[in-house]
Amino acid sequence: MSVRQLAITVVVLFAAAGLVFAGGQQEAEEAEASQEEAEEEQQTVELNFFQFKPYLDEAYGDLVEEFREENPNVEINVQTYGGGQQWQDILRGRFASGAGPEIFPVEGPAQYEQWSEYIADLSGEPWIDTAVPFALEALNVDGKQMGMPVNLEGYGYIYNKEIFEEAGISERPTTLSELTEAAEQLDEAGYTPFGTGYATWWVTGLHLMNVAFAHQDDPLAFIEGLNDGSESFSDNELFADLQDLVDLTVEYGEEDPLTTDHEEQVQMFANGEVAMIQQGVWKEVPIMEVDEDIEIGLLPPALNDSAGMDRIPVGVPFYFVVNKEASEQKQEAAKSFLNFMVNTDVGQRYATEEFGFIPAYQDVEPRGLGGVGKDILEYAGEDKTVPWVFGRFPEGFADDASDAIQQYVTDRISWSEVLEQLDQSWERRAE
Amino acid sequence: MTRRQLRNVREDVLFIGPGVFFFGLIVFLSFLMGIYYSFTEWNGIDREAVWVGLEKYFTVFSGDSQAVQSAIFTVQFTLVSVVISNVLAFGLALALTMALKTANVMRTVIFLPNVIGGIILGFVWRFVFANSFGAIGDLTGLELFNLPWLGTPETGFWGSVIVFVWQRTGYLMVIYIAAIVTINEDLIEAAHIDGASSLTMLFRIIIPLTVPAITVCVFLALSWTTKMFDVIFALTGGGPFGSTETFAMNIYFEAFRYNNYGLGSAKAILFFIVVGVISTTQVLVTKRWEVES
Repeated sequence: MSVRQLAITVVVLFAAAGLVFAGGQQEAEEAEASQEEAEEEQQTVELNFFQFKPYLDEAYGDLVEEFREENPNVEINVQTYGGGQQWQDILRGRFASGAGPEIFPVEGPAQYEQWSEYIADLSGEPWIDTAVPFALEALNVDGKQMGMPVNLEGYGYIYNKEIFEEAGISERPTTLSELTEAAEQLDEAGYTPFGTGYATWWVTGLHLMNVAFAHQDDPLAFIEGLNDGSESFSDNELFADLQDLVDLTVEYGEEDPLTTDHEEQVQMFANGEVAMIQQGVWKEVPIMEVDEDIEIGLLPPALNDSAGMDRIPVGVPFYFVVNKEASEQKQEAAKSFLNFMVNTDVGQRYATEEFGFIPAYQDVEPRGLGGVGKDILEYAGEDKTVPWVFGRFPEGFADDASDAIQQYVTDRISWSEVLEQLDQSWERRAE
Repeated sequence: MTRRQLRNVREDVLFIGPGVFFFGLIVFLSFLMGIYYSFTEWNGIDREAVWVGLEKYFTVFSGDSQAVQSAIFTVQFTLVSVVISNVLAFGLALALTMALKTANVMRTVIFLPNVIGGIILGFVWRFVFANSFGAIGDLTGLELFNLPWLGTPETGFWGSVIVFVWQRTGYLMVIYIAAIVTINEDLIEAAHIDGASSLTMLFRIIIPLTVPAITVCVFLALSWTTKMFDVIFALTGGGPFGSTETFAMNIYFEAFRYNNYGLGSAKAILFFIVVGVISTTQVLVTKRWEVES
């Protein structure tokens, strides 16, 4: 009897442990069953669509509904995971457990490298012809289009028009000297000209750094030069000029630049405590949330007094890619959804009106843009843009750059030491 | 096997089995996989991890200045925090075991921060340092509150210590209280009659008899501080310029932000060994100080 009891105990234990797995298995069986059903009724295709902007979760859901009106046999689950770096960890987990989504975002060439074995070729898709040509470049790999851009973003110094007017600044400053004069005038009028936000790594490590990269005669060649050692930060004029811009923002910035991050930048700016912040179009909505009536625009980040500095860094923040591992049928459905998103009237209306995006496509009428978005569009229309190249920084370089600039603004190291650290970091990180 | 033996085995399996099973699945298996990955070159995404032997371990020792910096920070943070939190907890325990009217309320209040999750706590304190400290400084004119809190390596360090101590002292205090109240009243009374001063009582009777609690508390504080991640991650994110990055954060960044899963795993394994050696040494040493009453 006791042997039997032991046996029972063991069985119970295993059953308990098994429950955990049984749950999963059952799901799998159900999924199989539903798949069979699906095949019977007009082959329903189920897609997982992974995106990382929490505030767009609902809007994407509505867009999916619109899509399903034309394609009732496609089901799309919007999976939203936002917040800093973490969405990448989650995506990684999905793929590791064999449940990779059919559509997911990558931010640029460096991330593409990591995911390349999962990414399907999108060459020949209809939206390629209507896309703004430079928006396609970053994920055009060996002549194949691997990702679909959705929108353009730009950054610079977001400025408060009312404060500028009050301080008596009538002309938009577009060179470093004009920016300096404006700062002096603002200072005299009793305002803090800049809210630096230098506690946030991407404000310095990505965007500020990018300004000096983007104004190089040929930014990509410059990066190649850094990789093969023929270029260096220490010997580059624009990186010497970058010091002047950093000095200006710190001299005329809030008291302790390393205690304010990008969220406090928005707070200070929206409350009228500072007149300018180095930020981009993505902060327009948060600013308007604090003060609906605020009049704002965008100034170019100028490194010196040459006329070429009157340009806004504009780039594609992310690309949607299609999972190569998905079945042929799912890939086709995913591609048609992506095309629907950017290449139909409904999709375009959502992009501009619901998402507040500046579309990366030529034939789209941008509506519902704020002051910053309009300025970016104007600069883009006059072809006065410089690219975003930080998607090509080696992993970890932006952190090192941010550390170096933080040390510089607190007087711990000199500018030449900053450039030395950048050189060392690039060499080490690029391997 | 006799029936009794059989029943023991059965009970063991019944009560310990599930725990062992899940511990094995979640902790032990992951640990073994970590050891495997530390011998590979892998970015966490590719299907294949390439075997590279000990290469990653050599890389750890080939001058990664940020890793060194984070190790130094972890050591300093550990030393300072372990001492402050334990001394403070012991002091509070002493005070609250004396006949104070509000003792029970005080115990609860001091213990309370311990139940708040680390990430939330970090964010709350970031707000306190950024906004409330400035406001207090403006009201009182005290220089201390007008420092650029979390904006310099020094304030970042002490900010981290303050938050850690605030969070964990209550927990340690409860253990010390438990130890102090179990001290035999007779001993105290005898000492009184022999004319011992309060200081003598503290150093000759109370502290020697609470060494078991000290062992536990120092061990706990050591393991919390050496593996510190969540609070500081939310509080400073490792900044300014990486000066408050703990070693655990360095490992996380290496593996997940810079996508060097192999190197991150190698660092983690080395970290495990170091923490293991330190904790074991500490327990062995303080065990030796324990006395029988």
